[in-house]
Amino acid sequence: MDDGILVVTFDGTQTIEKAATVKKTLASAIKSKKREIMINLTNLEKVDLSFLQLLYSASLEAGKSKKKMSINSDVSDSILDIISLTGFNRTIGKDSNHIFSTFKGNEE
Amino acid sequence: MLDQFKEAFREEAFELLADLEEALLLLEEEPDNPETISSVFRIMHTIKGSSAMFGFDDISLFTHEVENVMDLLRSGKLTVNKNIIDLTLKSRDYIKEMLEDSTVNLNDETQRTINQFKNEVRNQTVSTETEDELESEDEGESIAADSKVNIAEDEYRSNEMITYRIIFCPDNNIFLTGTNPILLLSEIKDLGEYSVIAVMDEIPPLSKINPELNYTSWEIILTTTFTESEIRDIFIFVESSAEIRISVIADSMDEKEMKIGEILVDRGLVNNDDINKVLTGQQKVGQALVEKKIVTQPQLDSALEEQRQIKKMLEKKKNLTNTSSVRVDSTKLDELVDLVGEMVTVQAHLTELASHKQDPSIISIAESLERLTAELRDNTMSMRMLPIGTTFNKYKRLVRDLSSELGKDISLVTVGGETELDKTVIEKLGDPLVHLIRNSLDHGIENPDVRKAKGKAPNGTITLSAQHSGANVLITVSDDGAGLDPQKIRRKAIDKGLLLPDEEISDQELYKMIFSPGFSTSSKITNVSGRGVGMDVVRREIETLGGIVSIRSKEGEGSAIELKMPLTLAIIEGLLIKIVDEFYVFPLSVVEECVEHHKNDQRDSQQNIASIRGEVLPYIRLREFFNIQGEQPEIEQLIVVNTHDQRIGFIVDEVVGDYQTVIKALGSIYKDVEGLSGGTILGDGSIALILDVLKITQIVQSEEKLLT
Repeated sequence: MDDGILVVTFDGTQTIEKAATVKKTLASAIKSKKREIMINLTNLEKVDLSFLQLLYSASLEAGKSKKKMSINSDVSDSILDIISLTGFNRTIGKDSNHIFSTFKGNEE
Repeated sequence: MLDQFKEAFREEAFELLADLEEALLLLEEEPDNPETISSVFRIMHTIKGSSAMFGFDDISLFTHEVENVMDLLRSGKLTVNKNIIDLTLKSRDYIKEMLEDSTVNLNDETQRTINQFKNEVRNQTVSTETEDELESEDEGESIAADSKVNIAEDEYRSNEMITYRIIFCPDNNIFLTGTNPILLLSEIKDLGEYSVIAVMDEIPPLSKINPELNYTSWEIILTTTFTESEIRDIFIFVESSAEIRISVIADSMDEKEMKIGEILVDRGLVNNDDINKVLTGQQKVGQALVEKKIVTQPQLDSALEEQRQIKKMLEKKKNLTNTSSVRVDSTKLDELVDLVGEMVTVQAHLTELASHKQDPSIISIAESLERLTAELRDNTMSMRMLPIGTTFNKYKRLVRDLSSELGKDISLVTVGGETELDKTVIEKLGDPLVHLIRNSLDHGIENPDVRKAKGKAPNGTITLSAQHSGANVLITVSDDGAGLDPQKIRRKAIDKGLLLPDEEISDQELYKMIFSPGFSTSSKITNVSGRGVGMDVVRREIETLGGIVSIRSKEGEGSAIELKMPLTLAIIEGLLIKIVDEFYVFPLSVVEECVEHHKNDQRDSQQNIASIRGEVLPYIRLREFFNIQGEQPEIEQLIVVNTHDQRIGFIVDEVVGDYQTVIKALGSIYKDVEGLSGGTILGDGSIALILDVLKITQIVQSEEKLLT
């Protein structure tokens, strides 16, 4: 496996209409030779639940292939709000170190 | 019984009216703040409701009208302006009047105010309608001002907090119906304190996921005042495509926190046997249950979250109870202070006896009692303490009303409202402070054009501040006005015969003259101040309270009057002294030093003048003042006190030491005795009189026995 990082960028609106494409993009990223995948959401403006689910699902898949997948921390406030509103960032238990856990600072 | 309730209502209503005044003044500063508008509305609503309940029908009717207008403000149909604030403040005063005096009813004046309100509503409606019409012609339907009212009632709910557990499991295909679960979550979040856990263990890895299906469900803990059915309303359109379970996990009646095991049992995830099985280990129950695979980690997480939220709610409630208060008649508090005073005395007696008897067991009891008494004393005193800020609003209103009356633009800034002072002191400070603020408004701060000419901002500021300073509180009224004019005071003082035409005195000495009776430098008399009865009354009132007035001023920049007030009037730090067999107490706050005084130190056998480190000091022989017979010791003690920036000595036989003095009134027979401010009982049961140093000085001065 390659030591480099593969950066996958999603921007603009990522909602259910684009879910199938998003799945394909993520799947090919995991299949690539890079050991680490960084999801860049800096210019992401709007998401719905389908996108968050896909990211989580992709991180599970990446874990299975012994790859590291993470999200860059520079995410807009509106996306952060949605992540905390949906509870995707809650990290209370021991094994909750998943892809969204970087955003746990958002809770009180 | 009903009278008792009525009285309680009145008391509460007065408090609400004070809050209302504060909120209105705040609203004037920030007219767009929706929270302030809501709080004004809420207060009106509460007064209306409870006045109707206790039979104050006129108040209820009148408040109802005002409340309607406030409601229009709240819903944004009306905007806040000075007229509305003026009218609402006026209404508040009417309500207060009606509360104070049951013979005051709805009259022409109240009706006029209501009509003025209606005019304002009409004016604003007309103007917005014209704007609307200009914008779009076809939206021409106008609604009459009066019919716009009536929306408020239903929005009102009890403020009982209930914590719900909401399980929200949307079907797999919920996206296909066009539903966005995020919007639903957002709506729930808006209802109150929200915490959520996404249950994501159904989400498959990427290779197995259908990107258009939902795999997530949520456990939400919501603490809110909304009812279950109101929460359910949010899910009304997804009821067929989602499983929704709402249960109450804690309401405001619950007092105790739930253990994690209880929550899991409550959720039906485990039973008591499971808990008992894992309880034997050293591990935490939750973790043990996860390890034994009885519950999953997400299930435990969710339960922990629930526990956290309930804890948060309980803490909130605890804070709420902590800050809420019990109404106690102030005379009961006074009685308590009296009793504590007696107790301090008895305790001192016991301590003395114990040290006399040299019995270790009695000494230890006496010491415990001393500790307890000190705590009890401090506690009791703190009960009488009120933050001075409670009275500050009154002055804000005063400044607002008077400055517009005088055609000046003046704002009042208050600092240190949280500073606590004895209730009695606060009550008695009211009049002097009003006087000082009026003075600043009238004489201190110049007219806007004068200020502009001087290169100052046209709007003036009066600052009312309070801060602790040792056993005292410093209250300062300062302004950025013209400051005192020494020449003007000088002329006036000469006119009044207080000063010889060629007498040279410092500006500071001149400033002090404004506290002389009948002294007013303002050439014109307004109804704000200027009758010349002001400052001497202020000084007298402050001094009766054991306070000291001082003044600072800089011409052209403003002046400040500082009141140094004792924290409490019930117990003072005193210096206990003895003359022959009699005890007296000096308030320690005025004592500067004690020195030995030899008979031959006296400079002049006729004049009572001593020399301390080269400085000449007039003194008073208390022995002579009180006409005490007995032998004069060879070495006496000279106590130097400072009153009104004037140093005076008092000759006594012996200084015993400092003494926590519980002040007792001398009783009606002695109430006219001058030079004494009270009495106190010493540990051995004997009595010591508390000296009114200032008064004694004045008496001696007036008899011209003292050279100053």
